[in-house]
Amino acid sequence: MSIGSFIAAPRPTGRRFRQALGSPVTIGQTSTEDQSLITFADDATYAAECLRCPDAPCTFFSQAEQEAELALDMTRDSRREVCAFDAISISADGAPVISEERCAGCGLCIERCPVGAIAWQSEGYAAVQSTDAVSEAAAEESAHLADRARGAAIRTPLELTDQEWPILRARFDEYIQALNGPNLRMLVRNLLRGLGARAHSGVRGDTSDRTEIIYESAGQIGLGEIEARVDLLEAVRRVMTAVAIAHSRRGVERERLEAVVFMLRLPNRRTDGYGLVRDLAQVLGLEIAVVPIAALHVGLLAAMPDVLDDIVAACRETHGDALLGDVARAVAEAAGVPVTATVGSRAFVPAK
Amino acid sequence: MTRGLAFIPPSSPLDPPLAPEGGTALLQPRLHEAGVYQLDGGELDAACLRCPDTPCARYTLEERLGDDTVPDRVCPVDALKPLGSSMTVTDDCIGCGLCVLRCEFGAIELAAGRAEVLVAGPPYAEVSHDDAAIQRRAIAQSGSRNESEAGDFLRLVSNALVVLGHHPFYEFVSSLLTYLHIPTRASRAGDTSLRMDAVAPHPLHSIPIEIKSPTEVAAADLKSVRQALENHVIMRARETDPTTPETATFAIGFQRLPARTDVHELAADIERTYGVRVRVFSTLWLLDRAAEAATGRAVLDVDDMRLGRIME
Repeated sequence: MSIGSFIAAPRPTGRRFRQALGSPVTIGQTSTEDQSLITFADDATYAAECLRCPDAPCTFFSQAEQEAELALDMTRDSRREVCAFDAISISADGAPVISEERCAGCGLCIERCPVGAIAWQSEGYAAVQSTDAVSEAAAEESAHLADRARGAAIRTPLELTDQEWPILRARFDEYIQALNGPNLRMLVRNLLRGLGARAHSGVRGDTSDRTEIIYESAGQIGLGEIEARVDLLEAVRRVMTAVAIAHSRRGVERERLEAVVFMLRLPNRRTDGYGLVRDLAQVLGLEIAVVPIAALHVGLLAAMPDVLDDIVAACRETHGDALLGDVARAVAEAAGVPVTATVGSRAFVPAK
Repeated sequence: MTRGLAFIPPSSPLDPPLAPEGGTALLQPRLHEAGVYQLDGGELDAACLRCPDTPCARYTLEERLGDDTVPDRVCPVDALKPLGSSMTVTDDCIGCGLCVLRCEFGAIELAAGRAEVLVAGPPYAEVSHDDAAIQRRAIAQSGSRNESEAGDFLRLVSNALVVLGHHPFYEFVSSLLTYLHIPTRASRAGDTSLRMDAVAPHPLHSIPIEIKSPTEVAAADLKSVRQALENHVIMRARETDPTTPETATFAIGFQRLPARTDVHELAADIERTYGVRVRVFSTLWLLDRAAEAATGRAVLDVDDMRLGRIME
């Protein structure tokens, strides 16, 4: 499959838009009819096409991101892949190629491309805007351009139409069901990184002080356990143990510890697990947020700073199977996207 | 001049000791010869006296701290029944040995994986229950307990317990704790509304108990420690039984903990972080304490147990 076929695919009408504020550089991916452009302050424009960045941030986390130190550390998954679905790879000519069959539309590569050269297609997968060869002007400045773009980029909400939101959400929810344990952990780690946290994933184990996810955001240290089935109860037990070990053996103050269970699907709100979550808050003052992984996706689509904290806070206060709609609403509103309706637990539809 | 002399049964070749070959009775008072008590100059065969309160089969209400929600049966499967002038053991017997511990006469033995009541000849039938009770007390107070066979007894019990499934094992552990003066009731089979396997109710310091049967896992593990914490939280939040933050929550497995285990370390983490006292015990350790109590060597301090001041 040639790269050109991706370009030919129909693109959503909404476009990722980057604008540098207080910076000499304005970078925008505009929705001109034929192709998007990157515009610099000196009015120089380049097609928003793949620059073949040498470090391929769309595909790999940098060494610095991978080795980011946390106040509380653990044995890490050393994989640097951005895509937990194994959908993106670097072709012989240095451009990334995305498998439309494998791509879940998580949006991480789109988020990480410094020049906005990756975009969603209307079916919900991502595709790279790339010509067969880098344009002469872009080639000359490739590395420089990427640096300028990255330094100037700010995050703005993705503008999607009423039709596009449900498609993106449904595709992601369907695809994550098929992930194996290690890749699901990596996905959560990557989504947390996409939401601005420093995050690492570990290895599940019953015999030592291992936690599946550790992240730092806004001074808080998050300890996360992932539950791929609906066994919330067992995940809550693991995370209350993780908090005890972090506090007792590693000397982290309890107030800094944030306990989170990331779930593939949310169980019924009357299950034992939620009962224990409430009891733990009442008796031990341990507040556990039960976060649907899809909420991280919603957060990434909203792409606002600090949205992770909003998600975790919303999930700490709300229990049950209607939660995802509530989370989606909270996240969208925090991101300045007015919400007109929530559709079950799968999608939400922002107003135009 | 003792009452014991009044009902010495005939000791002749026609009335041989009734202990089966190779049988083990832990609590036989010091024997003059096999199956016969030596007591202040009198002699008495070890045999069922059919005590009216049947301590081998029933805990008194007093022993249960007045809590009638704690079952009174000693036998986890209720296999000990009165039959005529003595007690008898039905085929349900699992060989757990609790009735052996409870009989102060040493009239119950373990043999071939089952308990067996020693039955005396005709003269015993004429002994009045009151006299028997007085006699029993005299023997108990004489302190003449035989502990030499404790090792054999514990080995036999251990072999019997290791095959038990969840519910009979929960009932056994509950009865064993009641024996140790921590009256305990096991949850009903199939009742999942409360996840704790047993509760030792108390007006102030009720203890939730997580039990791991030997067919499930050899010894208490990290999961059972987590569940013990959870049980404590649920008991306090839902006020199923009165308890306090200082009261221990038990995790009880079968075998002693292996040398390399982080079970105690996790319990310490939980206590430092949440102030909750998870205490991990093995059934074999509790059995040792029961044997000590039965042979008058040492008695567990129940208050210390309740407040988590005792660790295995």
